[in-house]
Amino acid sequence: MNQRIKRVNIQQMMQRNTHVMYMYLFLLVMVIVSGVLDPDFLSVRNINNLILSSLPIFIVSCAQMIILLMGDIDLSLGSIIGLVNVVFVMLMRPDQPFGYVTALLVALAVGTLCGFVNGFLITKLRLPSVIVTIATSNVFGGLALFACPVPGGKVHNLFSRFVMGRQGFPFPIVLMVITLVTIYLLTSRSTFGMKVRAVGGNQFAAYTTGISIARIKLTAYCLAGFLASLSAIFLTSQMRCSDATVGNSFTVNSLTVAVVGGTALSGSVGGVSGVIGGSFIIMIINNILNLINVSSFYQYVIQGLVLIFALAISSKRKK
Amino acid sequence: MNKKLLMVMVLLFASVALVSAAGQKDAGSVSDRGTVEVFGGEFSVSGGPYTVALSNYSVGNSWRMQMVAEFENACEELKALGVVDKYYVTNSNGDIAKQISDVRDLITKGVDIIAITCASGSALTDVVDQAMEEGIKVVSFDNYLVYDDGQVHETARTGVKQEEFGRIWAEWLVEQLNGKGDIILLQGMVGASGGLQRWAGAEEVFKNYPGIKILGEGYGDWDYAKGKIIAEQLIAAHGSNIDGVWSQGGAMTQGAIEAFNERGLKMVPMTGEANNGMLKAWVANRDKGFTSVAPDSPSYVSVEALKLGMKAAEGMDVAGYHAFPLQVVTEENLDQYVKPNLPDSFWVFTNLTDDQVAELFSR
Repeated sequence: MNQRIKRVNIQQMMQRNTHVMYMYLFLLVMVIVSGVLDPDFLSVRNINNLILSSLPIFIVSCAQMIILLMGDIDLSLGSIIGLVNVVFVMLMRPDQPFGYVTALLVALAVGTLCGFVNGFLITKLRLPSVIVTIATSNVFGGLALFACPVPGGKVHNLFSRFVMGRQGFPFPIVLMVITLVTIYLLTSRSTFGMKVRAVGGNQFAAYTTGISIARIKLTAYCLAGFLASLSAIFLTSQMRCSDATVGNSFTVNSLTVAVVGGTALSGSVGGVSGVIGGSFIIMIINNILNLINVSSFYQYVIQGLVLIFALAISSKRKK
Repeated sequence: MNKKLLMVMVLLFASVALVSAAGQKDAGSVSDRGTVEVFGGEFSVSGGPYTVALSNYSVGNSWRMQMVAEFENACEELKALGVVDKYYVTNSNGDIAKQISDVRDLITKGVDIIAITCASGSALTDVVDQAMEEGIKVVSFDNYLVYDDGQVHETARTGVKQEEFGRIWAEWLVEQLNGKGDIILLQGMVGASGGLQRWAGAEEVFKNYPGIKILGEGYGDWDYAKGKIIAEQLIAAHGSNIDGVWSQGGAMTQGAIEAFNERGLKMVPMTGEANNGMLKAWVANRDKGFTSVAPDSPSYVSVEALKLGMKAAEGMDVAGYHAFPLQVVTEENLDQYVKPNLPDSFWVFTNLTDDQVAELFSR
């Protein structure tokens, strides 16, 4: 009897997470094929590289996922990254022992504030998120360019080395795990997550059950802004300088990763377990094709194909 | 159905990966190669064979495509000589974060030499430092690494000075107008550093000639259609008062030629760049009195970077900036460079043969 219940549970779980299961199957195949094609792929150095390049996109894709769960979309995440990068470097005092503290706090605050602005405009003016975030994306991007028209500046050496895991402590892995667990608890195990999904499923129904849609949206956008700034700080520690355009590719990439990871554009469906797999898929595609020396044109073609494939699965599931 | 889709995707990924892996030729053993003269006898190589790479950030225009083709072509020749065993070309499509991981991937592959043109000169410096720590020779060209801490972060750098373009154009225009006349400016892109430097070079010259008056200017983004629109607007405002056009791009100059022709205006001297389309337009409008000067940063600057990297790998001292002289098409050598049978997009200062060019731009 117990066994039957267990089997039914597993079946249910599999049905519910078909997309994520297929995605991990695909990831597994990719890892095996890549390992066979190039022995360097599974080297410690390369796995370390993969974590370093996946982490910023993973964190910002978590932000995108939360917004997508509400049935909204955030097209300003890339610009928030650019602005936070600029602010972070401008306030950095590389020659003082703790010259990164103020910069870190202000940078996180600026990102959260950007998210708040998005949320405020969307809830108070009741404008569609696409329009608002396109507009704010221009504003944030413009501010970043205004503050820092020419790339440059410096990042605190010790801080950067620590964040990149070069001081003996595997900070990137720790950050990845903390983000993973926190976002999992927030979106799949908390009332906040349930409310976010309810808003994405049916706003009217959510409203009638007493959920304050405005408050949920505002919180979610602030959280997205915070995550974008976290991603920007990690990215900045890699670059060790400011460049207002550094976030440009992250808006589209975060959407790709979230969707490949099984987040539905229609809202409510998705989870961080998918997003982390999605970020590794996208990064492994670029990584292995570089390692086996395939023209970069194919990298974009294959990324596109993976996205179409992921969307195809999502639409199948809905039917 | 899902399973079928998955299978299709997996097969597709596997087949692309396998086909491309199979496409790589291994250079075999070259230990008994001995010393080989390379680059037309410019220097000899006794070490290696080297694994080399081009870390590029964009193939967004024909010059950049040709620059990559020059690099690949040179690598193929070096491979045949047994000097290079393998080469990699990465492209980040303007994405800074991707170029950083591209360079990391090249470090993983244990390349010996990287020629790099950066999406962001500042942002790439740290990862290039890591490559240098691994003993990789890194030469930046075109879009250089940027740092101001007084330390050296690259093996060498090479490329043209953008200011030189502006200076050559301005001096030529002043000469054409005998130091006196009204001109219009077709600028590149607002805020683009290359464009600013080109204008800075020209401004230095123009300020010595008070007789040269600037009637107006516009930003045509180095684009034919936008250049034409800007020229039309300036013609509408100033008409036959325009004595000359200082343009910072060949395609924009082509647009200006069109605009002048459509308005039935007499041709005036206009500056240009050495791409085949511009030179063809020059020849076609010669009898209407059109004349120009067309400098160019040769697209084989990528090969120049490779050359410096290889010299460094051979133990030669190449540190510092290696100015790469601009080449110039003038009224005297125009017929020698224009290729009526080749596509417009081709840049005339090249190491590629006509057949290679035709193949590159027919794709």
